[in-house]
Amino acid sequence: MTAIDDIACRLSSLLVTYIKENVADKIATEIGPDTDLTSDLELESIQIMEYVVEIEDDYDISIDLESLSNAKTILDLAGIVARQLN
Amino acid sequence: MNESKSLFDKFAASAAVQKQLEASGLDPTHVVIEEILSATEGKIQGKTTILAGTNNYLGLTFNEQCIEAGRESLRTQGTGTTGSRMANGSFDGHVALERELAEFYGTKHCMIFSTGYTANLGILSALLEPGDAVLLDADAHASLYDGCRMSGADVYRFKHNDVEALEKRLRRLGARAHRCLIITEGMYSILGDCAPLAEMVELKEKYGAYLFVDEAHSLGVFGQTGRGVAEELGLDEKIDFIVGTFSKSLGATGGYCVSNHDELNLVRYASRPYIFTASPSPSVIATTRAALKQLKSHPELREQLWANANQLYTGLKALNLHLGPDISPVVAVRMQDNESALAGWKNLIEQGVYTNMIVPPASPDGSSFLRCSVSAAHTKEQIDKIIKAFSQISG
Repeated sequence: MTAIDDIACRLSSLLVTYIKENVADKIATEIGPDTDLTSDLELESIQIMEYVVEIEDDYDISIDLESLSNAKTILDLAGIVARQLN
Repeated sequence: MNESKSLFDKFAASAAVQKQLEASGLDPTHVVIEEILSATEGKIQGKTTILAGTNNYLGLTFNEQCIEAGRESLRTQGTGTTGSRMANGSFDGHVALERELAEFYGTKHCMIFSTGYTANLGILSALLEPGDAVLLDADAHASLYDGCRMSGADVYRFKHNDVEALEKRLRRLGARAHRCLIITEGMYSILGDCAPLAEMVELKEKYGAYLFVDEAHSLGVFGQTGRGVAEELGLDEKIDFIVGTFSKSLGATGGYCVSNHDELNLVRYASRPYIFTASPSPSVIATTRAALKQLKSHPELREQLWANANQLYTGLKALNLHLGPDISPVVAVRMQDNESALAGWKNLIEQGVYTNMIVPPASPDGSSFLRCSVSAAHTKEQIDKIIKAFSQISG
């Protein structure tokens, strides 16, 4: 498993927790690296923002808006986190 | 890769929304005020309507001195400048207004722009560059987002008014905090809540960052002399850049930035939204200068504004409506969803009250609102009518 795979696994787990705690009408199943936050889960922009804050706090990093604008899947986000950690 | 087949595919979602709004009868995004009767009344669909969503906080749009100043300027200076200040030169009024605003704020420098939007675009796009960092309140106005994006700086959003979230991001920047601009608003436009400026000033000093405050909705509303929230909290001198607009309390069009940093004058050479825009028309400058005089010499307008704000807020609160956290001239009623917001908005229009319908993505937390803005020119009876109209709708 690569570092990005590890991060994607962690981000999936964070997303499952976030959805359980904050998104009452969605079931957090089958979330994986290729899950698209908007088209698969239909998360609203404010929910994505809150989830990104969870990621930032978990890794103690800040993610800039330009990077986020190109991220659709958990794997995309994992790539951003990996770059920050390196 | 985007799979659109046509240049216009991107408008499909907007077209669906437009169709839905048109089908509902009156589209809140295309209201025509057929006749402006006063600062607080107009005719909509032939009916006299109380205007409760205009941001005309001091009610100066029909002030005799302002109108006369504009009329005289049209007569003596013509209708427009027909070009930018860099290319065509400045009119005397541009320079005078900059001097008067700098004196009003007690700052060394002021720059004016043709709109409030271009003020934010013009300052941020020139002040920041790639490699700089921005910490931007999540609920900040679109012009602040756009200005930051135009600059190429790294933009990090923090949760609205959350000082702890702001500090985390400052700490993470490390040495880059010295190249960081914190951006907030004095009073926020949808809920009427204010930024925790004292804590933000503490943080910007602790980390060596800079603080930029947009007082668009707080000029003429807060502070002993009406300069805004920073003045209200005694923090004017601690703010690096204050921006504002002429299009709310001053009843005109335009924007400005004041600062004690000498570099503000150098922004003129780097700011594309300043260099490549026609400068404000002389009559606009004349009415703005006259309105600024009114703002300074008539503090009772501010007192009346707050009395009206209190009346509306407490009246709506008594109806058990879900309002913003603070009493302010911006009073937003939270609605259950978009559909109830649209139905409520139409009901208010039918009762002769115009408000602003605010729905996602323009709303701050994904909710839907019916937003009122109070004016000093509203009468007690008009405020009573607004409250009564709201009593006929359900949140």
